[in-house]
Amino acid sequence: MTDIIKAILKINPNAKVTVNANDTNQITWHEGTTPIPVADIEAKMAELPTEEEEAAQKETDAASGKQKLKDLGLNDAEIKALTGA
Amino acid sequence: MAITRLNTNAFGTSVNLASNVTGTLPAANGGSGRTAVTGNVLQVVSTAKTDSFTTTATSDTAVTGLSLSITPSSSSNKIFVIFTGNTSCDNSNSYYGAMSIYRDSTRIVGGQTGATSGSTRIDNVNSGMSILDSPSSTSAITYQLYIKSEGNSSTVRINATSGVVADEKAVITAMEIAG
Repeated sequence: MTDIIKAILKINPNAKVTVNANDTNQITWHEGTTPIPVADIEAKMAELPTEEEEAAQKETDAASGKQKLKDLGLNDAEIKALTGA
Repeated sequence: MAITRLNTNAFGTSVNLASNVTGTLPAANGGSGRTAVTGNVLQVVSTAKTDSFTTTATSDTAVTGLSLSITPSSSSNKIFVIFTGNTSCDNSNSYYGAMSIYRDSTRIVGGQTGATSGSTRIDNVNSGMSILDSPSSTSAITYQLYIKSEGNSSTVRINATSGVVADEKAVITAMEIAG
């Protein structure tokens, strides 16, 4: 599921906003932020990867990066010292 | 155990237990069966939230579903308030999130939410705060969790919108302690 507040911040990076239960019907705008229409938020959500997709991509990137470091001649201990993983 | 029979003629047709009897009523007569001593827990009220709450607001924002009401039975009693729950802050810009417990409109304790420094990754960690409050009141009191972002649109969160944590639950609990 895509995080509503991430979609909002993609539209307006300075938005001051609260979202309860990740529900587009429970959005509160703060500090003079101009409300964004729900339709616009939903359209942006559709463009963004879901949290599950983001997590899978991070794992893929981590494995790919580690392999590239190994190809350069680093061993596992050196890679761990550099990246923590 | 000896039985004491009240002479109701002295009080009319019935005895007003509130005004004519002192001491502690036995449990069989609707009492607690004991006298509370300092430190006893007299009542417990608890509220749990299982869905998420996220904000970028930079002023304290009441978390929907994490408040409770408790009425102390004596103004000398204390209220032990505890919050536990998973919190996070996307603080890629080195900002962080703050959480507070309010007694009605008064902030009584604060803390920092879970966070990840120098990354856009959001870490969701179990956090907690507690306080032994002395409200000096016998009126209904509301305890409420608030959170806020320290700025730069960092996103502060109670409970994840998704993830690997099962049965994720944020809980606020209040216990009345005999003073």
